[in-house]
This record gives sequence, C-alpha cells and structure tokens, in this order.
Amino acid sequence: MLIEARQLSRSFRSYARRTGVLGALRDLLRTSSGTERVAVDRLDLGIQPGEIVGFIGPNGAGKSTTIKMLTGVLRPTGGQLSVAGLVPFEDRQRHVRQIGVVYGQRTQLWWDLAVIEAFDLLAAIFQVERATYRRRLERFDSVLGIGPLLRQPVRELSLGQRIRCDIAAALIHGPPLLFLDEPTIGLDVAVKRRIRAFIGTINAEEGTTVLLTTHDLSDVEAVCPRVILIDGGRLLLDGPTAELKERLGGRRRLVVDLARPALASTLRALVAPLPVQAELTEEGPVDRLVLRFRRADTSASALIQIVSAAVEVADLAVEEPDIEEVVAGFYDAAEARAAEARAAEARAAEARAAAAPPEGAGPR
Amino acid sequence: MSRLLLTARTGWTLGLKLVLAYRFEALVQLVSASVVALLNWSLWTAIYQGRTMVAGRTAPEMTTYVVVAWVITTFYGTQVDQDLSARFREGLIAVDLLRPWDLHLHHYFRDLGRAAVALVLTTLPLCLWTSGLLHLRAPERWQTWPLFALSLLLAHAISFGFAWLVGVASFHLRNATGLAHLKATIIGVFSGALIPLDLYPPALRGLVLALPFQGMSHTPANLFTERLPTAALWQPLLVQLGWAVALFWLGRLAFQRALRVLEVQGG
Repeated sequence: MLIEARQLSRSFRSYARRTGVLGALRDLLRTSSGTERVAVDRLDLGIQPGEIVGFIGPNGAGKSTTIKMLTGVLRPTGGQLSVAGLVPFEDRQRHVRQIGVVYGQRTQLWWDLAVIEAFDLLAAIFQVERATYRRRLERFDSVLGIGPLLRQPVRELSLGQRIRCDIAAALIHGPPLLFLDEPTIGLDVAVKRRIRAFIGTINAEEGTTVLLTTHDLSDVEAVCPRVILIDGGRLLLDGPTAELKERLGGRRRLVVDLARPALASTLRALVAPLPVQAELTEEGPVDRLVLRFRRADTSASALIQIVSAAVEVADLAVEEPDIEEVVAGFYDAAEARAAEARAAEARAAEARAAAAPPEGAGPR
Repeated sequence: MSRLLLTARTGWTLGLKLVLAYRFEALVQLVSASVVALLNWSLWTAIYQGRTMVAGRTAPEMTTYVVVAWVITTFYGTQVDQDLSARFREGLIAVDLLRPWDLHLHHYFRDLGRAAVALVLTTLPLCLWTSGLLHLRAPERWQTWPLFALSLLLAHAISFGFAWLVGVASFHLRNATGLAHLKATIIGVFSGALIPLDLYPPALRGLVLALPFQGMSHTPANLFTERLPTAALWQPLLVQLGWAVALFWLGRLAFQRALRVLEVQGG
C-alpha cells in the first residue's frame, strides 16, 4: 500500500466574526472559544503503487484538506496516515522528496524568475544529478512542449503555459507519487488533453502513482480507472470509474422509434415484466418508446430483442448517462441531506431548550 | 552539515535572484536613504555650531555615528515578516512546505542573499558618497574594520530574528499591516538608527540598552566610531551574538507551533 489512511480526520476552529464596530471590538477580546468544524471525518484510504485515482467531491467536501495532509502540510487531528512508509507531517522533509504536487490555483514557481531559473533551483534543492536533470527537461519539453517557455519570467506566462511548467516543476526530482489538485481548472480543451495524455504517459512509463483532484469529471473518465468520492469529509464511494455512474443512480436509455404507432397501454404491458422504467406519459397511440435501465440489470441487446419481437421498429438509439449530470444530481441530493441534518439539529436544540427549566429556577 | 550548506546555497541564490529581479528598488533605496542620512547630518552639523562636544562626542564622531547608523539599515533592514505573512495569507505556505528544507533557515540565508545585493547596490554606494562629501571620520585602528563587519552580520541576524517573529505573530493575529508599523516604530526608536541611544534620558537608556534592538545600529555604529574601550571590544559583539541566537531559537519554536495549528487559507 503506497497511501494508507485509517480514520484520518482534521478539524478546524472557526470563529464567527461579529458584525459592526462594537462586534469588532468584542472580537478583540474573543470570549468565545470558537466552534469546531470537521473538514475530514474518519476517512479510510488505500492506494496501491501505480494507480491513477480520481478524487472528487463537491466544493467544501474536504478534498483539499485531505491532499494537504497527504503532502505533509497540514497535521491531522485524528487517525493514522502513512505514505510510502512515512508519516507526512512528522517527517515532512524526507516525505516531500518522494512526492510531486501541483496546485492548479497556486504556482510553485517564483513570479519574478524565469522558468528555467526556478527549475535549476529546484534541481539544486532536490539534488538531482545534472545528466538526469537534463534528460528530464528534454522529456518534459517533448511531452508538455515547454521548451520555448523556459526563458520567460513566470508572470508573463498564460495559465495553460504556467500549469504545464508547474507540472514539470513538480516532477523534476522524479517522485514516485504525484498529487494533482485541480490541475485543469480554467484550461482550454487542447491543454487539458495534453495534460491528460501526460498523466497517462508518466504512469505507463515510470509507474508514477497519481492522485487527481478535479471538478472536471471528464478528466476522471479520461484518465482514472478508479474514483474516490467524498462529501462532508466522509468517504461516500470508492471503486472503478466505470461503475460510478451506475452506483450514483445513472441509467442508460434505449430509444425506440416505432414504424407504426402503438397504444401506450400495449407498450406498458410489454415492458412491465422487464427491469426497466418506461418513459410513457401520454395515453393512446405513440410512435416512440423510451426505456431507462441499469447496466447491471439487463443489456440493450436483450431489450431490443424483446421489443422488436412485439412491435415493428423503425430506428434505435442507446444513450449512456452523462457523468456530469449524474454527479450533479448526486451533489444536489447530498446538499439537501446536509440541509435536512442541520434543520434536524436545530429542532433538537430547540426542543432541549424548551424542555430545560428556566435558568436559576431549578433546585440547587 | 551538507544539508545546511545546501540550504545556505539555495537560499542565498534565491535571495540574490529575487532582489536582482527588482534592481530599480535598489536605486530608490539609495536615494531615500541618502536623503535621510543627509538630513540627519545637517541637523547635527547645525547643533554643533559653536560647540566642540555634545554628550561626550566631537562633531565628526557624532555625524559619523548618525550617518553610519542610518546607512547600515539598508543592509540589515528585512521584509521577511511581510513576505512570511503574505505566504500565510495567500496559502502559498503550502507550496513552501513542499521543499526538503528547513523553511526558517532557508529564509535566513535568503535574506542574507538579499542583504548581499543591497550591500553592493545600496549600502556601499551610500558609504562612498557620504564619506567623500560629509567629512566623516574613518576608523583609526585597522582591527575596527573586521569587527565592524562581524557586528554588521550580527545586526542582520538580530533584525532577521525579530522580523521572523513578527511574521509568525501576524499568522496568529491575521493582521500584518499593524504589526509592520509596530515593527518599524520599535526599530526606529530602539535600534539607535536615528539618535545615539546614550542621548536618551537615563531611565529610558537603561531599558533600550537591555533590549535586543540596540544590536542593530547602536552597536555597529559605536564600534565604527571607536567609542568603545579597546579592551572590551568583544563584549558588545557577544551581547549581539546572544540576542541573535536567542531570537533565532524563539523564532524556530514559534514557527513550529504555528505549523501545528496551521490552516491553509483559500481552499
């Protein structure tokens, strides 16, 4: 196991700011001890060497906090964590030699230096041998096309150019483990594609393990065989990306255009014994039948056989569920659950307050 | 040891490169420090009209003190407190911690690189024109020069140590601007960069001489004007060293504590 986390947790204290001038003055004294906010809640993770894992979840799910614990920047407040045999926070200086990190929203280069100066400095800091360093630079140039950018100051690069340079910077010391925290945020399709291809290449050729955090699910579909979904700091789902849509309730659709209109009631009777949902809202004769089904329950070909034996079919189409939509639906549901939980908590607190005797009135 | 050397070399290189990226600032510093030095020199020259001694100093001794005390601020004056608090505020500390270095030591050497560039582009040019035009008093003993150089290095270490603590404090208080003003005021009043500290009233003098800040301008400038008895030359240097080491360790501890409660801001 390259990354192993057991019951990994991290909470923060947050102090709500009071409003107004008086509030600001009272904040100075800060009489409240703040409230504990749990960002990562007893998370279990296991990642094998050579895997490419997509790490997804809605905003505020705890992805970034998790990554920062895995990279040794934040100290966990609970649980155990080991990455390649090291405890990241406690052994930070040794740990960072075995990882490369790209934060899409923050550069690790220096704004005022040329790209090559930053690379040289990183190679010196990580004590990369000259020949190895030169070989890696050539490779980064051939795959990421950064050769022409090397002499430019970082502040003059476009976002796409900067991210490509940042990825190269993260890999100068040849780490076996790469963390990509939203590397494709704000990038155009061509650059995205290039980065995805690069991730695949280093994984295939050097066995680099990759943990990719992203909001772009097409990234995950394109490069990650495995996906981990968290929300509210908790693990919700961990498995093959191919099964993600199914497990989140995604359905395929079989659209059948009929050669001659058939009665809706006839069609309902036809599909009633099948593990499908028919989208039939109208009554009377219809000329289209739409069936929604899960891959686990039945196959498109089985359905087509049954349907075409009963009615004359003019045309057919099978539509895969759109991953963005499926996950968006899931996030909405998660948000609704969270809101419901908050409301229930508030009601419980109110009930407690009502049940408790008024202050000072109770027996001592 | 080799790790320390590596941290020193890479920190120094980065400091040099970053400050060279803004060469123009060195010129601005040169001009503004010149103005203050000249102002202070004129003030004291006026005070000495018709007098030979003020507070036990001759006119050349006094003007040399005030010019040297101010000129060296361009060498030891660091902005590491603002750099550090900006890294915390913008969450870039998460990037700094991805390097196999001791971040505190790294910044010390980085600021030394910054100071080396300032020495060449600002401090030395200032020395050249002021000593040529303002009739300053050069040291009489050759030993003064190496001792002054050493004292200057220690002044920088004290300045760095204090600024680092201010930077860490700004992480806890989340208010960098107020602390930056406070720091500037403390250094202005307590370091002896503007007025020799022994001109302060006795009660205040006792206090300022017991604080670390006197090691920034007061000690090197007094060394340079050879105000100290030859036999006890090492004493103020040892005091400087003591403060530099104390602030350094305090800074380390404070920083390690800050990391344990770190929250990286901005996602």
